[in-house]
Amino acid sequence: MRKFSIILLIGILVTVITACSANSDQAEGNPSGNGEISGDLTVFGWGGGEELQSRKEATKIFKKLYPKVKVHEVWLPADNIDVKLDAALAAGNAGDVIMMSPDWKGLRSKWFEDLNPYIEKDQLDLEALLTEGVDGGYVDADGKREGMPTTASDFMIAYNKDIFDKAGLPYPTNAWTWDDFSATAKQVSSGEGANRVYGIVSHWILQSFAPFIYGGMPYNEDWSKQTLDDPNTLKGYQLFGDLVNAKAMPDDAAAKSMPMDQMFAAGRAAMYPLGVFEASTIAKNIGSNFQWGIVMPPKDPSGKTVNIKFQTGFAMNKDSKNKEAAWAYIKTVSLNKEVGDLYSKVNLPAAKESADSTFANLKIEGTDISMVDFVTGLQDAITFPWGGSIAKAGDLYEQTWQQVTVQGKSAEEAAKAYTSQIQSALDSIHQSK
Amino acid sequence: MKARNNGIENREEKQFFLFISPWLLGFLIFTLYPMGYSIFLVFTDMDMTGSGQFVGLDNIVRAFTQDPLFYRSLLNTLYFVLVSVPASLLMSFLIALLLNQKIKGVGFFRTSFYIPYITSGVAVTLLWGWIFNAQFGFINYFLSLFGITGPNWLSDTKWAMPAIIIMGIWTIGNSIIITLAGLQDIPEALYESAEIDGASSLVKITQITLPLITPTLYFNLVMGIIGGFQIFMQPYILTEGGPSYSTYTYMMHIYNSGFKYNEMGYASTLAWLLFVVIMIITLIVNRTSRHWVYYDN
Repeated sequence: MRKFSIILLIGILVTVITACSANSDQAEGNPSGNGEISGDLTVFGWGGGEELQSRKEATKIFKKLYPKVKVHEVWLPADNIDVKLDAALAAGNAGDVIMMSPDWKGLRSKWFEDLNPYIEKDQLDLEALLTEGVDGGYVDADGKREGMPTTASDFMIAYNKDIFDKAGLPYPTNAWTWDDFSATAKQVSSGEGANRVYGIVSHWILQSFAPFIYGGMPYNEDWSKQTLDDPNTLKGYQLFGDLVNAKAMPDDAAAKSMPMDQMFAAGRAAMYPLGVFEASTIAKNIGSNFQWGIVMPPKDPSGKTVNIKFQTGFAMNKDSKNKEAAWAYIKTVSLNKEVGDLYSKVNLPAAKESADSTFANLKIEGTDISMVDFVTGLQDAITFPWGGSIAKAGDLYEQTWQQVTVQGKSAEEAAKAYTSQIQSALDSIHQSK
Repeated sequence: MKARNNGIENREEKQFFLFISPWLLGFLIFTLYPMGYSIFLVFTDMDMTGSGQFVGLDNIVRAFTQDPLFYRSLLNTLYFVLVSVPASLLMSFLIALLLNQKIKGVGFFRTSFYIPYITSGVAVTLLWGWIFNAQFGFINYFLSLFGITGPNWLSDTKWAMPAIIIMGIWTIGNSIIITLAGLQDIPEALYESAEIDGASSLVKITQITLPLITPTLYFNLVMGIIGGFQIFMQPYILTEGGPSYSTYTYMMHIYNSGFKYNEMGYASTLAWLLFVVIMIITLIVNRTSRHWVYYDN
């Protein structure tokens, strides 16, 4: 009994000392607003290749600005992020700052701190500081700001000038429409079988364009109702079905015969939807095979350019023990010009100053093609429509796309098959929110 | 003496538990605990982060009444099992018969038939995608030599699952080896007696080989059914369940529900329903086995 009491007493003493020590650590890491920001900070994100390198360099810039903050970085391959991030959130060790994307559509928003108070405290005029179009989707329907943008990527249509010259067609211009695009794709196509030159590659992003190109939408603003059966939406899907039927776009078998970027680089397709993230890779693949240029994606009937954007930003974990340092990091990687200039090498930076100067002045590696159109194209771009919470419905939209472009069904037939299932999927998503 | 024996028994018992403790701990932590937790998840709507609430039997009701993909994926998987398992059994039996011959170089052939089983994986599946390519694939090229226009295998709702089945049959090396072992267990004396009585090869196969190989076939059948219901990799990599969900298997539905749609509770429900289905089918096979499986004891 005596032995037990001594052990119990020692245990209590140790626990009390440890708790006090943790509290004092917290006090050091979270100053009440006075003094320099310090303490530990964990950054959790994804990336690979040059993009990852730029993110690591951005962290180094933050460390220079806030030398008393000890940053621990956790970078994962992009295809692993969902499972690992959810596991980390469940385990409570997801880090103070978490990379995120608005196309998650609120999937993990319950874990994120509302950043509005931090923006108000620092009196930031985000409209003046951020590249136009880069911030869409970071504020949810209830007004909560889930994150701050760091980079974005939109698309241009790359075109093979040699193929256009051979077909005797003028190059596309920024004023073109989707009807022009369709006609052009059919006119530049030539050859048969293995020698077929297609008008446009069968790129995975085209499925995202399809519902919007005639002013339609796949679902309404709060994604509670599907609008696949809207005539304008169906018309968009049908355009691509017609392109496959006319062999202006590869069918499924041809699309599987080689990667689409290689199909374009090898001169087997006249046009290619080129994302910022792949511009230099495509340029390297093309080399001196042919002359090429880029043009904005076509306009919808209202005159608005239809574009799709991918966005990456950072959110603050609401359970972060060092929110001041977390906010300092998020603000730095989002708005700091030096960081923006760094990101410009691989993507479109959120910092307006960098986007309008450094990025806009860049040319695609090895070419005379300016990157400035990507900045313009971002303004009206639509956030990638199928991610995060919408994934279940997104799979059904993909089946619709396959019915039209692979099975050769009409868009109306495909919509009949999937409209009710998509609505059920959207209903279940909202029920579980 | 009795006390000494008890001491030895106690020591041996402790040693027993000591030696199996690594496996036992692993089983408890990595198998039994997750199984128990997944039963708990069946009655919740938890997501990957562990947040959610108790929903009673809603997940089970949803599977049977509100989820069209539940039935679609189950039917696709049943289709795969009903075709691939008998085909695999038949092929492995016939090939094992051939490999049971005492001819030169039989070792090379045995190895050749076994290699697909150990090399199957993502890379091989991708290669099969090329083999089935409608434009450039070897199979359609081979068919074209006979004037046959091959189908658009992986893009055609009618042919995508047969393509997956063909891939599945290609990896029957393990079944072949097990069947071969069963064949070699049959006493040679029975064949010699049959030969003396003037039995033909067909009679020997049907009257001697088949009855005595039934325990092995039964084992392969049960393992084939269990494995068949868990088909995932080939359709996931090659077709992603398409075209039009024609190759969307039950395991894909579990995977998508849990990891893509973030519905861990529902995914656990689907997993346990699969367990029940496999258990029922295995019990049915077990019950029928008394009529066709012959044990020589």
